[in-house]
Amino acid sequence: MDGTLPRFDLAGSDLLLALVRGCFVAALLSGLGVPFFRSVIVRHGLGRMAQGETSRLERDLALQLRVSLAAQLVALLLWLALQARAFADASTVVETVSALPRVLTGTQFGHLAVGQAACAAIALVALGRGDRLRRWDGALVAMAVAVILQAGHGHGYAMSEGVGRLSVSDGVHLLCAGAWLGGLGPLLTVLRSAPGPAGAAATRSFSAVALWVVGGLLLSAGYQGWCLVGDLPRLIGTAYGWMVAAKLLILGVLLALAVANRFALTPALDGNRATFARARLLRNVAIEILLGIAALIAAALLSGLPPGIHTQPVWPFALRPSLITVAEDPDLKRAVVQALLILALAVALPALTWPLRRLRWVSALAAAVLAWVAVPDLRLLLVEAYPTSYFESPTGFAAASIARGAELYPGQCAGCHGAFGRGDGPLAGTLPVPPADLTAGHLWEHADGELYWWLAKGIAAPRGGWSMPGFAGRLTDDELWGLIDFVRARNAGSSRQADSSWSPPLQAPGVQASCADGATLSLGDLRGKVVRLVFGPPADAAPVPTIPLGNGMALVTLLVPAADGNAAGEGGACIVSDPAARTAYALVSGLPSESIDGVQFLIDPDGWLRATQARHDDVPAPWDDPRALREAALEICRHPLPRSGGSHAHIHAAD
Amino acid sequence: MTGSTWRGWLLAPIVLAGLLAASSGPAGAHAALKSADPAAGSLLKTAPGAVTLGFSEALEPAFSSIDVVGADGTEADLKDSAGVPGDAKRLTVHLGPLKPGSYTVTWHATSVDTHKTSGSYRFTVTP
Repeated sequence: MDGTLPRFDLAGSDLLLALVRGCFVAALLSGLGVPFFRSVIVRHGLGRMAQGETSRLERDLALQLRVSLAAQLVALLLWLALQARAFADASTVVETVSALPRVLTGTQFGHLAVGQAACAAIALVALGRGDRLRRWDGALVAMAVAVILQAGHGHGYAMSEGVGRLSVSDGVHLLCAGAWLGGLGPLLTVLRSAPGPAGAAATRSFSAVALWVVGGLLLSAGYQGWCLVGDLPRLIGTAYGWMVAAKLLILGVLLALAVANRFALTPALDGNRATFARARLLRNVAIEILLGIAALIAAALLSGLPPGIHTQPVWPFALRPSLITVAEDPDLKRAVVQALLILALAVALPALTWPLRRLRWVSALAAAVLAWVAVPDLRLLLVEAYPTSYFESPTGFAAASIARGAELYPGQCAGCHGAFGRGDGPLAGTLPVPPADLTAGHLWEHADGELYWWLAKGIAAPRGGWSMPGFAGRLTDDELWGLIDFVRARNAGSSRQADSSWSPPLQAPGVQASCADGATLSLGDLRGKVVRLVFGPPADAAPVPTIPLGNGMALVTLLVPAADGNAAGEGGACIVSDPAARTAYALVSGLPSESIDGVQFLIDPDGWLRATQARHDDVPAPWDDPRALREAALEICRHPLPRSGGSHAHIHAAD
Repeated sequence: MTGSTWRGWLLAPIVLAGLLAASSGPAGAHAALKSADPAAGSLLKTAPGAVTLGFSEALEPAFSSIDVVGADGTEADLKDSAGVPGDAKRLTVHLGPLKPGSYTVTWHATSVDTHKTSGSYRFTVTP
C-alpha cells in the first residue's frame, strides 16, 4: 500500500520468457490469418486476375505461411526450453534439459505445446505447394486447432478447470485476432501487387469479414475484461485495469477504422475516386497493423500482471461516488433528484433546439445557467475517499482473524477507544478530537478500506498533529484487518444484545470443520445450505449431520465442542475445533466467551447470520426439537436477504 | 509492384513477432491460495495428518509443492506433494507425527497458465 499509483508488478515473470511466448503467439496468429485470407476472404475473388498473376500471388501467400510456420516451430521450441527452466527453477542447461521430458509429458502446458507443434507440421504438409484450394482449407483447419489450443494456456481455462465461458471467450478472441491481424499482411500484398479490380474485390471481401471479426474481438475482450477486472474501481485502480482499458480503447478505434473501410472506402474503389480511395485504404490498413501491434503489446503486459479481481484497487481521487449521503436523508435525496432533472434539461435543451439556428446561442446560455444551478447539489453524490477506499478485507471475516483482533485490541486500541470501544479510554481526554465510539451504528457506513486507511495511516487533527496515530508501522496487514474484523464483530454483538437482531445483516464468521471421513469443510463450502452451528455439548447424543429440506436444500449441523470437551465425531457431524470459533461467535452475539456453550446459530444459504438460541439450565432450546428446527430453517429459506448491502463482508462465492 | 518491394511484406509476420512482448491471451494470472487445511493461524488439538491447500486456478502438480517445517527447522512433511484426484485446484502433502508446537507451511504453486506463486503461513498444535 505504498503510493497512490497502481504498481506494474512484472517482477517474478521472466521478461525473455514473455518475449518468446509473445513471438510464438504472433507467429501463430499470422499462421491462421494467411490461410483464412486465401480460403475464406478471397476464395473465388482471385479468379478475376490473369492466371500468371494468380499463381504468383498464391506462391507469395504460401511462402508467407511457410515462414510463419517455421517461426512458430522455432519460437515454440524456445518457449518450451525457457518454460522448463522456469518450472524447474533450473540454473544450468543440464537441469533445464533434464526437466524437459517431465514438462512435455507431465504438464498440461507440455501436452498443449506438443499438440500445437503437431498442428504446425500438419499445416505444412497439407499446404504442399499451395496451388489447390483444398490444401489451403486443410492448413486453415490445422491452424485453427493450434490457435484454439493456445486458449488452454490462458487464465480462463486455468480458472474454470476446463472449458468454461471465459476460456471459450479466450478462444474466440484468439481466432478473431488471427483472422484479422494475420490477414492484414496478405491484404497489403494483394493491394500492392494485384491489379485494381482484383485488389478492390479482395478489399471488399476483407472489409466485410473484418467488421464481424473486429466486433467479435471487442465483444470477447469486453467479456473477459468484465470477468477479470470486475468493477470501475479496479478498472482505474489497478495496473491490469489500465491495460484492459487501453486495449479496449485500441480495439474501439480498430472497429471504427473497419467501419470506415467497409462503408466508405471500399464502395469508392469502383467509382471515379478509386485511386484516392485506394490510397486511403492502404493508409488505414497500415494504421490498423500498427494499432494491432499496440493491442498485442497491451495483451502482452496483461499476461504478466495478476488480474484485477485478485488485486486491491488503489483509488486515485479524493472523492468517490456513493449513495450513502442521499440514502440517509430524504430531503437530500429530493435535492439530488431535482438537480439531476435540471441537468437532464440542460443537456436536452441545446440538443432539441439545434435545428433552429437562431435559438442556438440562447439555449446554450440557458443550458449553462441550468447546469450551474444543478451541479452544487450533485456534490452530495460524492464522498471523501482514500487510496484504500475500495480495498477488500482478505480475511473473509474468518473466526481466526476476529480472534487475532480480539487479542490485539486491549494493548493497541483500548487506551483511547476504551475497553468496550465506546471512546472512553483513559487517554481519550488528551486527544484533540474525541476517539470514535466503535459501538455506534455509524461504523457500517464506512467500507473496510476506509477503516483500513484510518487504522494504517491515522487521522490528522484539524489544527495539526494527529487525532489518531497510524498503526502501519506497528502492526502487520493481517493484524490490521484482524482488528477491523474484531471491531465489526463486537459492534454487531452489542447491537444484537440491544435489539435482538443483526442490523445491518452480518456474515457468519468463517470456520473450518473436520469430518469423520477426514474431509475438511469450511463455511464457504456450505454456501447454498442452511448451517446450524451448535456450541457446547448438543442436547441429544447424536444430532443428524444433514437434514434434507426439500427443493434441493439441506440443513447441515456443525458441532463446536466445549473447551474441555472431546473432539470425537458424534453421530457423524463435522467438528469445529479451533477455539477462535468460540471467541468470534461469542462476540457476534454479544455474550462473554464463557457463556457460548449451549448457544446455537442458524446461518442462511448466502452465509448471513439469521437466528440464535440458547439453552439455559438444561431447559432444551426450541431447535432441539427436530420439527421446530426444520420449520425454522425453511422459514429462513423463504426469506432470503438481499445480496448487496448489509455488512461489509465481501461474499466470495464458494466454488 | 516490384518483386523486392512486396517481398518486404513477407517480413511482416517476422516483424510482428519481433515487436511483441508476450502472449495475446487474456490475463496470465496466478494461482492464489483460497483455502487451507489446517487453516492459517489456527490452533489444533489433534495433529493433522495432511496439509491440503485449495487454489483459485488449476495447478501443474509436477511443479507444485508444499513444505511443512517445525519451529526448530525440522521437516514435518513426507515429501509426497501431489494433486488431489478429481480436483485440479487442490494440492496436498502428508505429514509425519507432529509434536505440539508451531509449524510453518510454505507452498509453491505453478498454475496451468504457467505462472508461479508462493506463500506461507503458520499453524500451531496445542498439547
